Amino acid sequence: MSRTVYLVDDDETVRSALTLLLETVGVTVKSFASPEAFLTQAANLPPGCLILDIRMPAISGLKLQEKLSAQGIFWPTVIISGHGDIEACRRAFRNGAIDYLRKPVDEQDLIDAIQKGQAELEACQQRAAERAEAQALVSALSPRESEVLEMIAKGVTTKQIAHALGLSPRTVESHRAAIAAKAGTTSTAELTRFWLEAQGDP
Amino acid sequence: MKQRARRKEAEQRADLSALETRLAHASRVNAMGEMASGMAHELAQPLTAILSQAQAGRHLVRRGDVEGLARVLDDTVAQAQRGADILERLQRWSRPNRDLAQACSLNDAALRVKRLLGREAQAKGAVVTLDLPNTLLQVKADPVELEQVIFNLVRNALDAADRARVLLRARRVGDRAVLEVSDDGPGVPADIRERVFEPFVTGKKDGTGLGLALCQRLVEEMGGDMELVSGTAHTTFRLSLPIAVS
Repeated sequence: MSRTVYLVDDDETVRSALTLLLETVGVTVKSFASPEAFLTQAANLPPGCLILDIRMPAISGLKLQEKLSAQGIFWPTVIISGHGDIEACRRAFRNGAIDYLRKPVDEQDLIDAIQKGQAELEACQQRAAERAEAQALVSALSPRESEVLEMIAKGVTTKQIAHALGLSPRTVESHRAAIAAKAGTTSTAELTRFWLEAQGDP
Repeated sequence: MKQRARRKEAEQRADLSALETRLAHASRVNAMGEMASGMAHELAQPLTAILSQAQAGRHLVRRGDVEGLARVLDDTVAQAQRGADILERLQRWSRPNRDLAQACSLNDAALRVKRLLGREAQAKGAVVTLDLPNTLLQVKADPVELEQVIFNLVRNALDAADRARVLLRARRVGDRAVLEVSDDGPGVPADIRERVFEPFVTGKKDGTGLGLALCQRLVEEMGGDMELVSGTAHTTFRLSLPIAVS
């Protein structure tokens, strides 16, 4: 649980009590007294799990969730609420919340939710890193090599590639060897994965 | 022809009164729903703090951090007290005490409130001014409740702004004693002006929305009424109470 958890609650005592509890179990917490304060800083913060109170003046926790999405911030979010309003709960999940906890919030439920959020964040960053690596590789290829890799990824044989591009099979083989050298692998499966990842979400 | 018209009119009246009854019932149910939801939120806050503090305290005990635990316990006590205060206010709201009503002086109540809030006013750089008549204004009320009402109004005025200028002006208007509490703060937000006396409606960041609701209820029990005066430069709450006949 190394990442910072961001807590937004307008009640000062709730904020400090939850911060105390989480810090006691080794979670780093940065708390905000209002959604506005968090919104102005969010873009400069490293990604982390969010804990939002639902009922705050001016901007509710649900509204904040929507505003963050509009800014392109999709961090794992746990909504905490003083009353179990089913409609609010449904809206929170529709906005992508990973959990909805009733106040008073039990320690274990909160920690479980944060762990789930952090695991999600890790997985998300892992995917982003892999994609960045694949994109860097693909952009390092010559236009011709890129064409060849695309056809490899589609499962086309060397002979068919040669035919399609009007090259000799030997030239295709040498392009393939150059791609493999840049990618650090000769495996067709790996090369295919690189190509697909570089293309982004299907 | 005439008879038919009369019958129709009577039917319409009956319909109307049934509708009114239903409306009154609906608004009571709605108010209760809002009350329950507001109360749940109000009590959930200190409970959340208490639960978190107690669970943090358990970790601190395991670590033998007695000093840390002592601090947490102090905060826990304060939060339990906050919960108890909310309950007490709700209880007073549901049944004000009518047995202690007596003829008491509105001027004295205003003076006592000014004294009670003197330190707070000073800390905020606020000035509380009294404009009281030389004649005695006696109203029939429980002196503590009367003071509580005025206290709430002046406290709100002080909270309205830093360095607020608060004026308490009392006078006799016919058979009523009228007290106005005004401040030069930014005023009650327009979206809650109409509902400012409803429970759980508040313009304050940490307000419970119970203060004015309780005040209005107490004042009604005293046979008086209370309003937020509109169309004035300053925020003014006007309290009007029947003069006590000795």
